[in-house]
Amino acid sequence: MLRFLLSQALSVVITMVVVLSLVFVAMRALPGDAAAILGGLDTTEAQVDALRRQLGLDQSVAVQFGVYWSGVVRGDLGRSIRERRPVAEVLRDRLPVTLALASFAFVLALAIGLGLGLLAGRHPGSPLDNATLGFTTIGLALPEFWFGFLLILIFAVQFGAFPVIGYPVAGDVGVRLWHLVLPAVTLAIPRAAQMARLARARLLEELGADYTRTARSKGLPARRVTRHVAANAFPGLLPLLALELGGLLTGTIVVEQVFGLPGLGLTLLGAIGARDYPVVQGVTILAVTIYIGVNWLADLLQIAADPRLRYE
Amino acid sequence: MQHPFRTPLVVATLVVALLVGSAFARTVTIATSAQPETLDPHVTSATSSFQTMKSIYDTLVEPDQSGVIVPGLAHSWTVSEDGLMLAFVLREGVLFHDGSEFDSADVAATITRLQAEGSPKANEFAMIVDVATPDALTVELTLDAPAPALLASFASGWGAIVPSELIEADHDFGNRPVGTGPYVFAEWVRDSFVRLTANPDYHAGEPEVEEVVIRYVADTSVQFQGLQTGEFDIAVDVAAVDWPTIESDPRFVLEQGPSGLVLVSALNTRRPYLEDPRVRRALNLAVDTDTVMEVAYGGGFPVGTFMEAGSPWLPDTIEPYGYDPERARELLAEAGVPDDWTLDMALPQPYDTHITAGQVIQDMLGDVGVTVEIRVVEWGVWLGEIYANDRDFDMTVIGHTGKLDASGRLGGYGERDRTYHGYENAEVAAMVQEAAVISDPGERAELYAAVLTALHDEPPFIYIGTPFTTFARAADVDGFWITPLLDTFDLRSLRVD
Amino acid sequence: MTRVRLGVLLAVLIVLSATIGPTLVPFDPIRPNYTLRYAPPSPEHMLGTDNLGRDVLARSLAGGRVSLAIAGGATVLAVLLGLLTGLSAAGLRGAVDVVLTRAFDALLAFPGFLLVLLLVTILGGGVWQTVLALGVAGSPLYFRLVRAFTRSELQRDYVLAGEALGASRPRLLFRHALPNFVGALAVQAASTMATFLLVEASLSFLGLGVPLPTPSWGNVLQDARSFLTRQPWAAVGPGLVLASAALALQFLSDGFRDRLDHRV
Repeated sequence: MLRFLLSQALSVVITMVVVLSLVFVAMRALPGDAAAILGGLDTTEAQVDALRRQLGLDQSVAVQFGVYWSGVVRGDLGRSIRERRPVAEVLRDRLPVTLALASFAFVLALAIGLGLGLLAGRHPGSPLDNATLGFTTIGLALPEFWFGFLLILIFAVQFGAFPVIGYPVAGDVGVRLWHLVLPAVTLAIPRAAQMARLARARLLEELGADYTRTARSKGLPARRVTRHVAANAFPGLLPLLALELGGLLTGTIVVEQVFGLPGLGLTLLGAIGARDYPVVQGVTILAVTIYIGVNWLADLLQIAADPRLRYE
Repeated sequence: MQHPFRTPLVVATLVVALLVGSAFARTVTIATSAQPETLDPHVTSATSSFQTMKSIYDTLVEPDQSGVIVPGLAHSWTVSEDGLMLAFVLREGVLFHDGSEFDSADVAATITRLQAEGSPKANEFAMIVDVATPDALTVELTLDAPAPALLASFASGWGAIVPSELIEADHDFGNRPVGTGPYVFAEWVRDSFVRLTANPDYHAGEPEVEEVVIRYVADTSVQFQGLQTGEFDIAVDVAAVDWPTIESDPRFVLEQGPSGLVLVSALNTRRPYLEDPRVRRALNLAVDTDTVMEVAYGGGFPVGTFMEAGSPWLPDTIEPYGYDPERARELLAEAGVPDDWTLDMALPQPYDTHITAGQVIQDMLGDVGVTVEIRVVEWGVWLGEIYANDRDFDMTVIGHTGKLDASGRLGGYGERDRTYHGYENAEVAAMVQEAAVISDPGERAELYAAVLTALHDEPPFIYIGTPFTTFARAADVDGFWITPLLDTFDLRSLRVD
Repeated sequence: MTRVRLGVLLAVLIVLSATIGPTLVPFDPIRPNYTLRYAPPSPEHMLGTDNLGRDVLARSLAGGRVSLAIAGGATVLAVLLGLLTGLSAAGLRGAVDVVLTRAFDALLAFPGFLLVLLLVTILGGGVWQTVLALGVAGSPLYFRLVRAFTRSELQRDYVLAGEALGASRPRLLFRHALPNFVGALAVQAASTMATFLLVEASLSFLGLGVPLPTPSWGNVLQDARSFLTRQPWAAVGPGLVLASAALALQFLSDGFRDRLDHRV
């Protein structure tokens, strides 16, 4: 077990080094110039050059690479070119917004997805099951940003029930949640659809298992059978749900853009536009770390749920 | 009991609504598309940055609502006979937001900062060779040549005065700006909003509105939606498509005024055929600029040279080109332009209006047999590859913001390497240089008129026009001004009725 | 069964509309018509016209061509990349296997959309760039599938017997192992293509997709956003078309998966 975790940790570190180097080199190969963007439309080239020197962007890529890595090793992600402050500070400011959105959406997706999935799985072939099947298929086929537009148009503009855009970072919890409702729904629908499918499939699998048949033939009431089955089906679902969480995190990029939420996704898009390399790298490191972490959690849950895997 | 969740949900919504209502009672929210790059006035020349900074900082002098330069932090100024001395007398008792007192030392330190390496506007202050501060309220500048545009530079956003103590301490103005302006900086969440609070010690009196939030909303339709739901009190960039709806709704007012913009489709005069003035004139004749203005920018005024419509610098002898595709075809044939001539048009993202205009121009040039291939590039790429460095493009579409003095617009014109379109004309270059260092207003006007005439006759642009400055506001929020020419936001007389 | 039928029906409709559809609508999807801007839906312009007076239906149909081509091309690329590398890894084993597995693990460490976003930023916007970015980002899944399938096929008796009889490895891989799991790959590919359709649209929404004025479903939707309040149908129509295309592919994928499962 320990060996397995250690070897996985090692491969994660190697992956991160490769990933980061790739992002670093690739970002420098991009057309566009952070200093020119900062200077604006009426700057002369000499002044942009001066700005570039000030920002250390005039050094060779190799030198910048060395400086960057020696920083990363010491836990320093560098300074944002655009914001002129440490990248770590930028990430610290923005991460909570993304986390709030992602966890809200995850809870919603869990509630809708598991609820529908278990209901549908209990009565396969029923109208409810068919409706769920319809929902899951459509839910997976909706372009998120488009669904977001429609939610804004209907619930914010027509009914005025929710804000069109934005997030009061320092506002009260209630106000912040209120701003997150439409984004979280947008983000949750496809994940709920996926979860409903998984839950339904798991439940059907368990319902077909030998012990269920035994329980039924013993004459156990249907409700109690279901309870047994759900208890057995649930642990197997956990790793799959954790994987959904990973997908949900990247979904935040588009949703943050649609609803103007100042989280990591918006930061990433802004940094790409401004050629703010250190921030792009920082967000990438953070996103990959979280993603690997979540996948790792999924693996662990899988092992916990299925003792047979422990000695593999 | 069929819907156990309904009642609490309604209550929660009501509570939230009440909270929102009370918390933002005295706040005015302004939505605009472009966010600042920085809040440090001396490291950028981007209008989007100055729009927000205008309320945080003050300048020694400033343009009034008609564009005339009036006192700001300096209540008077004098220029010596030979134009080599400029003296300011400063306002007394002005406080910076950090509580320190504003005096001549701050002006001197700010000028040094403006002249330093890395300051994008260093050349506008380069003629200042000495700054004397005989007392706390007097600043005397010695120049090595007359600089008729210097006052305009001091009145522009980059003339913002910052405290000398903080300059010495290498303060991070970009993230924590400190000025003397009507509003004090409170919070900046990048890509989202800046929050400002009224400055109780403002030298011209505390502004009426206690809190202003400037929200950066790139999408114009979202600005309009936010205006409709009451989230925004002022929407600075509402698209022309939504104007009729706003005008017909008594809850809103659509404000329209002249702007300082010149919208152009720049032609890279280094390129084959585009080097020929006949071809460039032909392209001007081939584009129905009224339609471009209407479709892409919601209308405006045509221009025939590189100066905004209505500018006092504009000689009345210059007429817009007009639409004459027949004549355009003749001129193109005369210049020997081949049938398969194809132009590479680079359009800056995310400027929807320019991208739309580019598509309309593409269509119109197609009518006279010129193929245009559109390439949309990010703003950073546009600045780095089109506007500077390689300048690898045939045409582009952009708007040049206004300048308080003609020298700001025309500096470097006539010299190939100093402009992105590469227009070359030694005579024009000489006139531009001369006009920058003579003080006689009449002579300067004559020189600029000649320059503008040359820029009409040998156009390095397809001149599109000057659009309106248009913004929408809630009927009960008034007093929001957009500074003429500089296009910055003036919040000092903002009020909620 | 019904899902397969529905999927086939939808897919045929969409492919037909994208191929011959543009010829049925007598409007140019790219050329502006300034006299007809923001026209509401009418029998002539069923989805109205846009900010440049172009028929939204014509643009949606033409956009379908581009979007389907991109998503289809990227899916083929992803499958081919996965197939080549997966077969090599499973067939050659040893260092090749280790290197390829590690390399794809590195790609898998990226959340999918982030990887596409970074690739498109680096490559720039354009049809081919988008295909390449999507194809590369989609390939690790196919590498894993192909590698796992091939390894298990290579354990089977017929392979061992074939090897004993002197059949070459590549021949065994391509002639015998591959046909056994090509169906499973196709099921997965339909689902991947559905995802790619949605991702392409998201990229256009973020301004990183196919550049204007080329219509793609993403571009048409993004255009429609700027006049959403005035012309909601210009966003709703193309959005529904896009959703049904994704739906059709999802139906096909699900339906065929059920069939495969039943067979096994």
